[in-house]
Amino acid sequence: MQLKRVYYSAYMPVSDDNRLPVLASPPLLREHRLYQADWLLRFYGFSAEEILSDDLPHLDETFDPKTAWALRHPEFFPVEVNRADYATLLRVPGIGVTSAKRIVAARRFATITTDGLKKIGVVMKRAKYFITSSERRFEKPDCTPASIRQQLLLGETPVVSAPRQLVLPGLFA
Amino acid sequence: MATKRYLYDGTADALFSAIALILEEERELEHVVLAEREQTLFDEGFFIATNVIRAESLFARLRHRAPNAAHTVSTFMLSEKVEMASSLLRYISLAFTHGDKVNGYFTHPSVREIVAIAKKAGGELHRMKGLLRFEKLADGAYLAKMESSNNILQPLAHHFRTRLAAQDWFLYDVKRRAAACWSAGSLRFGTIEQFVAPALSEDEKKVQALWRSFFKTISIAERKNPRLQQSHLPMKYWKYLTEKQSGD
Repeated sequence: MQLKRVYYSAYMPVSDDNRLPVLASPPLLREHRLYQADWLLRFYGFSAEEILSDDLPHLDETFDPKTAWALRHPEFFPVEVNRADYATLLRVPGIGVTSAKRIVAARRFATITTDGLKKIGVVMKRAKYFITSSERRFEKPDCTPASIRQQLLLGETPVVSAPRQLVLPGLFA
Repeated sequence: MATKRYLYDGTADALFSAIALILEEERELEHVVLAEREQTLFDEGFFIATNVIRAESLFARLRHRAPNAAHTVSTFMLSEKVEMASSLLRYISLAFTHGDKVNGYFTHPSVREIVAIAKKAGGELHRMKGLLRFEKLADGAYLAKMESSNNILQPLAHHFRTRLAAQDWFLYDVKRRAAACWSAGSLRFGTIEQFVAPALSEDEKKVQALWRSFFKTISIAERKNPRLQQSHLPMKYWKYLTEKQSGD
């Protein structure tokens, strides 16, 4: 079977029959995370084992799969944007396919600075914890995954409180 | 080092001849400013006279050295952004140094500006190829009106001369009062001082009503997404879209 890609759709009940599972709201965040993971497989050179494993069978709801991977692999970072190859750049949270291509094209002309990275379109809010530019690390070198996790969460305003999305009817009856 | 100010008289040929001359004369472009001459007494700077041969030679050399950059420059010129002459000067100078790779120099402010504006203008040109609505006139010719942000009448007309070669048609740019006319196998451009809406042909009203009812019928009420629609089809284009008119 030549399967090119998969679509995901959050479950939304079409009728309000009381035998159907009751949802607080459609699990749109989960749908979004599935798409993000799918994109990592299709365009970012990730393998399925890197995104999910037996120890971590579920996608993290608070972080996108790439940030979650980066937090699990502190040994991979920081990445030097002026020298890292395309595949390595793609693994940095905040650098997507477009930004990675632009970085590769732009650094032929001049060293890329923080300002240049912003202009290129890199999401510095996430990327700054994982990159160096000309050996200058943007964040203090004593960053541990735990503190990065903390800062990423505090920086991003709406902290998802992970509501229970599936409630079975009859449980509280 | 003090800034050196050059002036040109506002036309595209003048702009390119000024750029050609500056590229010959100046080693360092950092302090060079190129601007359109204004009709004031105290406008300071060196005025560069138009020289069509020099302008054409510059563009030919650019096309030879960096075809993609030359395409970017000609698309940029559709936007009529005269205030960005200095950026264009730097972009062309970089294009001669680096060739076609120049469009990847995203960290350079001039390259970024020129490429972004060229992208917008090219995007509008592409969009308008689908958004023009031709109306059949009483004499059998077709008329399409538009109000585009960029001056895309010329490339648009050249697109439709092969697309609609069998019909006679007019394109009218309401904002710039410019028109293109294709009739009997020749394409002409001109400006229109006073536009008088010509009479539509007899069945044009019926065809428009059919088109509107088709548009209404294929829409799915449950899937209405006005924000998405607006991002694909900005409101500034709605004025001349048949399906967006109420029809009387």
